[in-house]
Amino acid sequence: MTAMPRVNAAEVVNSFFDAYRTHDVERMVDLCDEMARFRSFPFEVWRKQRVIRGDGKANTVGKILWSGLIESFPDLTNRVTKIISDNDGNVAAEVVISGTQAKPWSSVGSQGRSFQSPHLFVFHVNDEDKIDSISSYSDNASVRAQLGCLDVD
Amino acid sequence: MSKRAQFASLAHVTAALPDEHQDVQALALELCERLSARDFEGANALILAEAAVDFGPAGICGSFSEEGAKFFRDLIAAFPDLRLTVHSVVADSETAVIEMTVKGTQGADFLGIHNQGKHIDVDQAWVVTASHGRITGIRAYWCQTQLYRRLGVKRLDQISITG
Repeated sequence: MTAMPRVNAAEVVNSFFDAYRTHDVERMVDLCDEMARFRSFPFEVWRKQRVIRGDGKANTVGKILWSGLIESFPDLTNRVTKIISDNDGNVAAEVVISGTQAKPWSSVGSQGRSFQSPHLFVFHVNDEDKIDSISSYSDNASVRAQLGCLDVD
Repeated sequence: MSKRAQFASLAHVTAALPDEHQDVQALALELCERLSARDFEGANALILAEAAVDFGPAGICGSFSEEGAKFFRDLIAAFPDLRLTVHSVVADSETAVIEMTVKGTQGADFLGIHNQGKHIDVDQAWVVTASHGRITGIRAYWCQTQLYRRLGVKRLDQISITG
């Protein structure tokens, strides 16, 4: 038996980025399963005793990181440049995220500069058309440099 | 848990791949295997000379013959125990997106970073395109800050000064 194409999976992911573009974090979370895993690989804070990573649930860690970005970059926007998907609900999206800094972001103080950063997101959308996994890859060194911060940490 | 194809080992990959995707998936996975085997010539053979490569975090962008080949050669030379561990693949008929961890111990200068014998483990995703049995494009995503942190670089404008 041939698997039916999961056309909705790519549509769900497009809706996710539409919501991100309008800063509707609640809608972003609503598109995710309650237990959806979120991993932002560039997010890594080294403390003396432990390393804090951007790894948790979409409705906790994800929501905090998305809201923080929007607060620090009030004109934050995104442009989806490519989406590929398979028949099992897997979707990969290449997205350019950009914005102008108005408030401190993480350890980067605001100098009013703008950034543009290519991202690669990998999603899984379940049978109920809910996102149950998000992984995000991007280069924080480039973002920090564009914002005028040249310290690695 | 994601139903995305998970690969603890690549030994059974060919059998696990849908036929219509086998070309680009198989090529992308073979590229990772050859790099892990430090087989530059083998990796080189999979990629068109004019393939578009974009290793953005390293500031490398252009054709494979002019930019990508040197990057792979330098990577293999700098990390004698280089290992690319593939975690998942998402693919359609033309493109494969591979999530992986690149690990290794620095044994020579790399991208201007002095060798201190430090270990890296950097999660990455590569977007690989292929046509007619050869790789036509590679676009890689990783966080260069993570690489710098692991190799002891403190400032983005002083890559060669490590601590």
